[in-house]
Amino acid sequence: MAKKKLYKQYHHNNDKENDIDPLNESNSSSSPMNTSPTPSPTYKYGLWKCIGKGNFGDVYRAKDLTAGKFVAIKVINLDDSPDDVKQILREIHFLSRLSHANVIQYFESFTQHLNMFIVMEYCGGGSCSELIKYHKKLNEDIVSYIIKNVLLGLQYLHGERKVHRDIKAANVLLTENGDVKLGDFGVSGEMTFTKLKKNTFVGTPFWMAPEVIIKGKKASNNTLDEDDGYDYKADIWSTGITTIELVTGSPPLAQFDPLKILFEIPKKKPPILFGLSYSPNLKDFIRYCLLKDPDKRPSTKSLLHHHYITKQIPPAKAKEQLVQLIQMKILYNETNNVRYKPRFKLNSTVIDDNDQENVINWELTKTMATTILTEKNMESTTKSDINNKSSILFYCLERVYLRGKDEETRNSVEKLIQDIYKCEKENPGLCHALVEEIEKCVK
Amino acid sequence: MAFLFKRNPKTPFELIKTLNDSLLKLDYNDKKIQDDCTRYLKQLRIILHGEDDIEPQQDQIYNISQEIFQQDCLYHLIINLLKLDFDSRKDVFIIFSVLLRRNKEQQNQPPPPIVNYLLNSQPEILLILLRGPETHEIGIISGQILRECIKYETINKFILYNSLFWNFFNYVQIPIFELATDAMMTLNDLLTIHRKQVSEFLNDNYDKFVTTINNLIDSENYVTKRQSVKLLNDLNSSRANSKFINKYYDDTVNLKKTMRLLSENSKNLQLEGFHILKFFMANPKRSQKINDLLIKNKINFLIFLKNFDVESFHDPTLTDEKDFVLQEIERLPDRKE
Repeated sequence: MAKKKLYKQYHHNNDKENDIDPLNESNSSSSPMNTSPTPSPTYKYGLWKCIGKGNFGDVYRAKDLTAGKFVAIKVINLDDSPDDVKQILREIHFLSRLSHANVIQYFESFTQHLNMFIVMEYCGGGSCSELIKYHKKLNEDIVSYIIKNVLLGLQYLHGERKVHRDIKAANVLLTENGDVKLGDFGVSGEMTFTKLKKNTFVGTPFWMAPEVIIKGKKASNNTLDEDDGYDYKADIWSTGITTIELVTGSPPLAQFDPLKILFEIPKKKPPILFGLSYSPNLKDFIRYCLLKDPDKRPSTKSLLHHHYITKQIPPAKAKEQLVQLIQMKILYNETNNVRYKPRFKLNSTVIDDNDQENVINWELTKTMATTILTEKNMESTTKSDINNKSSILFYCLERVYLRGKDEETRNSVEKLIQDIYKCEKENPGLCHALVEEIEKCVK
Repeated sequence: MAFLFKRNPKTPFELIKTLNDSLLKLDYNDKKIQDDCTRYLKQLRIILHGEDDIEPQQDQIYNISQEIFQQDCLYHLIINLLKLDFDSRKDVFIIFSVLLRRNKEQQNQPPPPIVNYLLNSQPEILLILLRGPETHEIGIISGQILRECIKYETINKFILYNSLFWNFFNYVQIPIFELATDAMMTLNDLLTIHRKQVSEFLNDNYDKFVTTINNLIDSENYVTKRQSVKLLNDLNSSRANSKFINKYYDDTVNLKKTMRLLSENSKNLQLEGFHILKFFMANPKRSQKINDLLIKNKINFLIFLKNFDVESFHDPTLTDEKDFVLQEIERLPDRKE
């Protein structure tokens, strides 16, 4: 059964290969109904590498083989999620309606079996939290540059009536060129709160605004952009905490147990930054962000006029410094082989073993039984007339890649795949012929 | 040198007129006209919706909406939706929702004028919106506008009884994920918001509807499958639909579909299947043909129930329901060889 599905999958891929990417499709009049039922199969993306673990699935870096660029793909098992799929879908729709230089660009989503794949812009520079893990803390100029971009991203989101709700260094992503982008909102944010409600605590409350903790219930019920009442000022508080995190290396109160500190935050005075090493502008900026009364807390618009944001070294210069820091970190990670192990095995989930299916032999009437039988026969015919065997080759190569015992082995397989891909592009049909020959030998 | 700059249209009449004129000239390649449309739309959106600290003025809204209807502005916006840029399309949505949400706060108010306009003056607008999912770029925005419109019963009825409605069962299978799931949202709203009206509709169209939704449940796509069973279960648990429900639970084809759901390897699909099975078992007027099929598969149902892990859903009522179904199945006579 698993095999059959797989072949079918590839069969669809063949149809798709000649198509234009549905998202970049400029010719809008072409009817989408004629294309295959799997728009962007996992095969379009190759060289999967886990780059992070989410609470609900892992994040991978993968290469879009048609465009030749890297993308970030979040994989969520839909059957594991206790919530209605609707909620996840709503968020994805929202993501698809966003487009801003400081917000991670959403590309597309697709499902395969029980998994949902969300394809987004890839940020090669990693998150700001990785950056401070390596550099301990960042200088004020760079932080001013980062926070300015965070505010621009937030201004856009708030204009779209969206509250990010999870601003922290770990969600501020960087490209290798030093561009700053807000990431990981929506899907994960929504689910973080849902889980919270169900007593499995995920995430940490250090960045939470006091009113969010007090009205925690309200926050968890907000699901839609249509909700007018939700207070976007919570993001401003979190931006203040993130600023402290970036210049000092950790958010305030980080030394305490997050669960114990949770209800202390609304009772305590807002954190302040002190010490001669920080400029008065920075201290003032943080004081404004961390006003306890959300109504008094300024909006992104007025914070963008704050001297800490406007009176710093030129952005280009700060960006240049940031790029250097990013490169140092990347180099360190490469030499020290920093790797993430996925929480869920991808190869087993992407191509799901469906042998379990139909373990119950239902007694059906004759007509019903015959329809099922003919359906099965049809599947096996599609199997035999696959005309493009190249997809099998790439699939196998990817399996080999995953079997590589260390980074070096995998890297050489990766190179091999790229070479073959290049060859195939130059000589279309090459892989097909290759697989055909292998088949003959095996027979 | 003020004459070097285009002046902004001042009166509501002027604004709508200039907007309409620009829309007529709209062209993919003409950046200038594009920008003009974007600007006028933004101006219109601010009058209707306000911005930052500016609250919209009721009398201004009234005046401008009069002009919008008189000059058929909504029609021009909808037929040119594709040519507008990304942000302007969002403005069109906001304009529609402000017009649709007028009078909504006060109770017992007649529906806002836009409802009558859409149904009687320019029904073409709704028909274009219904075809929205056929065009990738505007599918989602059309869906959003449509879902605002069908909050009114009269519009919902107009759509349910229009042949274009049935296209949604195809749209939900469009390979482009966002479009398909957006169409599913619209389909769901169309069938669940106005319960009474839908119940009449389901009575009138039982066969066609059940065949169509059963086809969706057979889909290979997990999301389509799960959402369509969910929709069916939602309809089947609404009291208003009792006639439909009686027919549904007396059909062996539906019981077979249920059995196939029970053998899915997704626990959520099994759960949805279980919810259908539960009603089959609870039906006091179970017919002979249903009983025969149940008896034939008694052992299979018992195997399923033995392996069906209700604990993992953390729902005590579900455990009770499982016990009930198990009891009912055990009470069935054994199969005669």
